[in-house]
Amino acid sequence: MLSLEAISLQASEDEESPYLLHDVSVRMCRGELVAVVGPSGCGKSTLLKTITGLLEPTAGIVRWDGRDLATEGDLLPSELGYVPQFSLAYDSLTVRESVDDAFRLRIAGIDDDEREDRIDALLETTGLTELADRPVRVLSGGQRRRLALTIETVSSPSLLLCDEVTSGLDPGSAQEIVSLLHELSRADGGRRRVVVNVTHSLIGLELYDRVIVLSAGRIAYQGSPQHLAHYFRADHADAVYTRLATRSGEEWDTSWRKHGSFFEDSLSSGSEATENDHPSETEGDEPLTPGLAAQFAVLFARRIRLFVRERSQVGLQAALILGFPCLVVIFALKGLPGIRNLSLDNDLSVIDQLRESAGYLVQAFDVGGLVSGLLLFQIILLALMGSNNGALEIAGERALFEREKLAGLSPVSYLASKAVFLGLLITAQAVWMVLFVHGICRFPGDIVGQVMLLWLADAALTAVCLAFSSFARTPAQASLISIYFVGFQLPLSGAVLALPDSVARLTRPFIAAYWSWAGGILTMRDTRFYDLILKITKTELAALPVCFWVLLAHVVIGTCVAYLGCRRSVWD
Amino acid sequence: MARRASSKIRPLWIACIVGALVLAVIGGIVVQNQGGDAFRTVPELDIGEYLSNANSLRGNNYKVKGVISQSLLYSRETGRLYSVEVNGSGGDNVLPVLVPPELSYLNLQKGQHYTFLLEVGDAGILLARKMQKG
Repeated sequence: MLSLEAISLQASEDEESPYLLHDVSVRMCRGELVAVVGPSGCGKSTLLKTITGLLEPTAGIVRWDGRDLATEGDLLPSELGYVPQFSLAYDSLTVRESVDDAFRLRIAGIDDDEREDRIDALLETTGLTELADRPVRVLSGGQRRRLALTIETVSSPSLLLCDEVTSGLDPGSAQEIVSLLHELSRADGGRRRVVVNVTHSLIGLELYDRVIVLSAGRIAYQGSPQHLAHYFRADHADAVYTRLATRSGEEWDTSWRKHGSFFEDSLSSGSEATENDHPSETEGDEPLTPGLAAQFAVLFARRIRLFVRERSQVGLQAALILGFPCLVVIFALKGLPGIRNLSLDNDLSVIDQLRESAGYLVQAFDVGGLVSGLLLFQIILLALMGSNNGALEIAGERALFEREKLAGLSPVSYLASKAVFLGLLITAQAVWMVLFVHGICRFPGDIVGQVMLLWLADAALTAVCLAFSSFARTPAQASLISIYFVGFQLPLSGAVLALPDSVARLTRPFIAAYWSWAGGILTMRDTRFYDLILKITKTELAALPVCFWVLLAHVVIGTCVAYLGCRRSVWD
Repeated sequence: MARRASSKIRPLWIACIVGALVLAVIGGIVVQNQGGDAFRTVPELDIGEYLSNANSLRGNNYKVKGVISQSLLYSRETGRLYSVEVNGSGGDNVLPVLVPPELSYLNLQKGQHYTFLLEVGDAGILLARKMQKG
């Protein structure tokens, strides 16, 4: 049994802040389909998140089978299914793949045959067998809700919480979903479960075992659907909302405390579920969640599959990887110009020496500027690619990630799968950039050192933008912050214009472009281009090991911050 | 056991990040101090001592920072002899540095700053073993 005892929740920690839930006490038994209804803003979804554990009540206790979830152990991921309002699945995966991935991420220790059998059985229960091989993107709203329910029941949870799963559906589809919820509440291989559906729709009301009506965060009614209209003195259940609007939440609460016991008692005495509300024999054997490596393997394979199937993603990456180096080489298609050395002999006249020095300076501006610019251009383009790599990687699928996290997905596995996938992408971007520019322009310097430095610059920007992505509220916000961050790289690198010392000291630690550029110049140390670049730049170059160190620190710290961002719970 | 709502970012994690930042800065300083000088384990040449009695230093390795001034002599077998301007404690000095053919890829020219790893050879000739620009 699930019971909420005197639950209150305030909007903030301030004692004066308004109550989102006020002294709410409800109970729900195994085998029951429960509707939580009420007008918008009455606290329905808040109640659901409090049960889930996503919101911490200011006061009160949430119990599951008698155990206080706050002090005696939270619900295991496999005990809980949470179906949000909007179906969360990747559009380019098929229905079967989506369910299969959910199985692999949530349940350990079942072989392929058993998993296939269970997927078939689940798809049959939810009426998706015929649609198993269709991509999610072609499913209707109702079919998507069915898929969400299928995914959330792979671990046979004892508690299935649904947030507005019928909203936006036509009445026929909504009725079908409620029927499915009713079926899911009854039996699942002997495991009876509590199914709670938060809704403002009263379609299929007769299929619910218990209806909880909330008004302004307070209980206005808790009883059977048959008594609902009678309690509210309405001609029909549909008129309940009109009646609710006639009094304040506090008044409905007071009224319920006076008269509610009869309706609660009538529900208890007649309910088969209440009489049999104890865990069945199969319960207690909760399936084990797969380990980090197993989850990583599933996520990585899924990321590759999604990448390959999203033609726009593949096209964009191909355009960036192949196109950006072309932008660099157009400045030196015929290679770099030759360089005239300063004479080492002492037999030149003063006039000749001055002429030679002036020529050398002009050469420094032309050739040194070109080499430094080509290097910086490569870095900035890789920084752009890095920002593109990281910005949307987490923010673009945050809702889906949160749901999977709730179901037992480890943020470590998730982030590791992202890191390895992005690492491959970065390698392709940086290696091709350096090889192409070296090949076409005969770019000078140690090619291995340059690959490493440009790889690190790309990785640093990717990691930092991944961190932004993990903390951003929306994908648009993540993109915007990442683009601004890349935008600062060029002026603050000091490669074009030397910064004042105070500004350089303050900003330089955060500007990956500087460390990559400075390191890149140092890889040309044994060439004459190095001397030319030194002639025209006033920006001090850090030692090569320091450049590597700082770029590596960017990658490590960016990844750690991204991990913190992934650990955060982000639910609207 | 705390519920999911309590699984917010803990101060411990923030402390770990701050620690990592501090470690990165300290590590950077250490790398800067050690990695900036490729010949940090080699003693600097005492120019006064070298000029007064070069023979006493024969066979030893030293490091010297200087600017390429002129090419004095060239031989395909032994390399090129340069005059190198050195700013030492006793003022500006010019030292003869023999760059062997193995280092000819360096393309030396006037005005370049180099750190030399030098061996004091017979007759006080300074033989460049390694050179690093800058």
